[in-house]
Amino acid sequence: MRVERTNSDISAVELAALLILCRLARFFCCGVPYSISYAKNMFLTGVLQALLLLPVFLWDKPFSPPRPICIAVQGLAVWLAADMAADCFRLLTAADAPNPPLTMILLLLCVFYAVSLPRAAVFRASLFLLCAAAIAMLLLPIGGLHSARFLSLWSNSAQEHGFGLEWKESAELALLPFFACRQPKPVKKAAAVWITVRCTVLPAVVLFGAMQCGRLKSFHGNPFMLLLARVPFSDALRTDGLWLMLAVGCALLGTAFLLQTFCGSQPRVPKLFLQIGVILLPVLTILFIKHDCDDRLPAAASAVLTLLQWRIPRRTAE
Amino acid sequence: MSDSSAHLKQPEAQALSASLTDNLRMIQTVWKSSADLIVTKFSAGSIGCAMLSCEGMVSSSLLSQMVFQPINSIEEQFSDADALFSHLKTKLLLSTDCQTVRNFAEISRMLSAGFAVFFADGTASALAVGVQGYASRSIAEPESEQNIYGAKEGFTENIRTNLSLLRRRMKSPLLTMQMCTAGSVSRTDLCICYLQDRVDMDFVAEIQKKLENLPLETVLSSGYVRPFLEEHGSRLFHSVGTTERPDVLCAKMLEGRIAVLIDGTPFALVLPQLFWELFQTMDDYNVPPAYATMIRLLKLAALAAALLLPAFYLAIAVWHPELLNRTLLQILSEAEQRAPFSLAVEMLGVLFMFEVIREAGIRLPKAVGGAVSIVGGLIIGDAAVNSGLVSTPVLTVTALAVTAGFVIPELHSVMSLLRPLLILAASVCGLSGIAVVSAAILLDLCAAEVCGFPVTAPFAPLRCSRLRDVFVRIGFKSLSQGNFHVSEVRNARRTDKF
Repeated sequence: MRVERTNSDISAVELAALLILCRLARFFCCGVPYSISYAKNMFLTGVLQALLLLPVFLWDKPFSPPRPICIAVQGLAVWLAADMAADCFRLLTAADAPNPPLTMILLLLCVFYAVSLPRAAVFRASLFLLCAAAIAMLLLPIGGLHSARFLSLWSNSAQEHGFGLEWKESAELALLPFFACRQPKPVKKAAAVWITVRCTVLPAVVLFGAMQCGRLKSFHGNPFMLLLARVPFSDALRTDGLWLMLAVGCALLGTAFLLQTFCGSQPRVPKLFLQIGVILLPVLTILFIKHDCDDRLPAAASAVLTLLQWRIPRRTAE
Repeated sequence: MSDSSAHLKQPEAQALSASLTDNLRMIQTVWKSSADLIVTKFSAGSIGCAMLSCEGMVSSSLLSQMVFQPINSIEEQFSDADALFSHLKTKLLLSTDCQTVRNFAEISRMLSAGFAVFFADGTASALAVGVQGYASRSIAEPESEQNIYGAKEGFTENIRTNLSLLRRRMKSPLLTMQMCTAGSVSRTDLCICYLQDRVDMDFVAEIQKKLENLPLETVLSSGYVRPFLEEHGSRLFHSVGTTERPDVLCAKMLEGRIAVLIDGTPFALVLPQLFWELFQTMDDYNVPPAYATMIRLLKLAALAAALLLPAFYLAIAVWHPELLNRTLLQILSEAEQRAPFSLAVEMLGVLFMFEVIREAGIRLPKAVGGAVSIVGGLIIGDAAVNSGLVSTPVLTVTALAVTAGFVIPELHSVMSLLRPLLILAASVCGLSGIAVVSAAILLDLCAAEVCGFPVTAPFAPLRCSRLRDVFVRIGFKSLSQGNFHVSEVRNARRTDKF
């Protein structure tokens, strides 16, 4: 018997919120130094991506894509999810967060809890997080307006301009046509919101960051954390920790969204092997990480194991 | 299995016989000659009769005035018991609730509900006469939902009294009250209340079906029924609310909600309950909108503080001291230097002590409970700080968090559960640990639904036009331009695939 569950209608706002959170998670983890050329390239990439999305905006009739495409999209989604989790680990390490491996175990357990819930839960939670992110983004310039130097925009000579990286960081975009096949109307609105945020807010933050940190000739680490370090909200308490929390939350919801939307919800089967699987997967990932492998390797391992894990309970539930 | 237990298990199968002696014998067998069963035998119009009642459940004066006096005044002779019953029903017992019953299940239910049952020899039926007179608590101010400007009446344990409290506030024929029973042994009265024109009938049918299929032997409080009405989703947050106030319940029914009143408890269940309603009180609508808005935002902040403050303090002090400026850091480090335990142990210990004192204060008699609070709060707290076992900042932060938690009493149990969890996460993983656990809590909240109503609505799913009475409270003139209706936030059922 198939496990029945109810789900809410997913609105354009919720989809847009999740796409923005995915992009924000990548943005917080990105290592490209902020500069005017990076902001310019970011904007340019956004415009080009909007042009590429024209078919999505023009398409009106829902249809089911062929099965091979569905499988390919699933594979891509799982890979992106694993990649996002790996990015989060890199951010935790770069920010000197305590016990990154343990945090990753917690995060992956939470991801598995999220995918065991009805899909609407992740979509609804995204609205809360987006609201928090919006408030934080509004407060960011207030904290650093006095220390911004307009001339700093031209004093920077960053080696990377991030044009190619921008395409990679926006990889979730490739999933939009798949969404559009099923529900064209909300996807159009969501894509429009996504492009708008992508082309306005993020380049603005990069420009703001360049105005704060322009005098640095070279920098290794996370530029967003550097920006935060230079714009403390008050003398008594810095806000980097809160932003780190936001980044972790974005990565968590983004990972859960990618896994759940494209691979389906994990049915609640209280089987021992499933529980072991849920615990084993993060442990394996951390073992890989602790052995100093490239963090893409555990990402790939978790992707494969995730796929396997989805298939096992499906059969038992039917 | 003995005969009597068989009767107890399936009393509805037994119909009354025409013989008074057989009927009384059967009643005695089923009730096992229970000490509170009173059987009064007499004759009326030359026909042998018996009156059965439960001691303490009927009013002796009512029974005497309304039933026995009219029956004793009968002078004419009747050919059979049916003629006597007809005479009683149409001429003598007009001022009482009088019903004909034909089987032992109904008789047992009526006796247990405070009816007196009148038997006569020669008829296979009986008359149940409503002369209830059991002692019950009078209407008083609800203790769990006090307010300043609103009504001071709260529900009581008597379901009939509670229904009258609703009817007094909602003088409309559209207010529907449907009685049913639950509990295979207790046969507790339940009442589903709603406004016909405000509620989806499929929603009502869904609730009725759930209540009819309750797999319970007894229903002693609203907590027995609540889990069966709630759907999958949250393990922490309720999607079915409770209220002790009839005015609040009327307001909720006007928004298209369904209420379930349960006999024996002053707490009515309300479906669905939206999360934001926990931050609203009746007083919000009696004060200026700006003040009500401020209070709501304050409650949101209090919720955040109650949940996160101890964990934040721990994470920042242990793992992220760079987030503090030098002066603050110096104050904290000086305070912590004397404490022998780690910060996490200190914090968990203080929380444990608080929960112990709180539990003792609740369960003890009020006079002693106050003394316990003083001993716990002042003497133990002061002694712990002076002896150096606990640092002052830890005690301050924990006390602040706990006090903030009292602002939303409905969420107290959730906070008590989650606070230690967040503290543990903070002690191991710092702020990122708090982020992960907070995300899990948020997901759990967002998963809560009841009959297709998400508890986080109207914020998620977003209905912008309905946010005017969520975080802010706009004026009544604007509110009256379009009342909120819960059906606006109800989801369509759909499959799992996008």
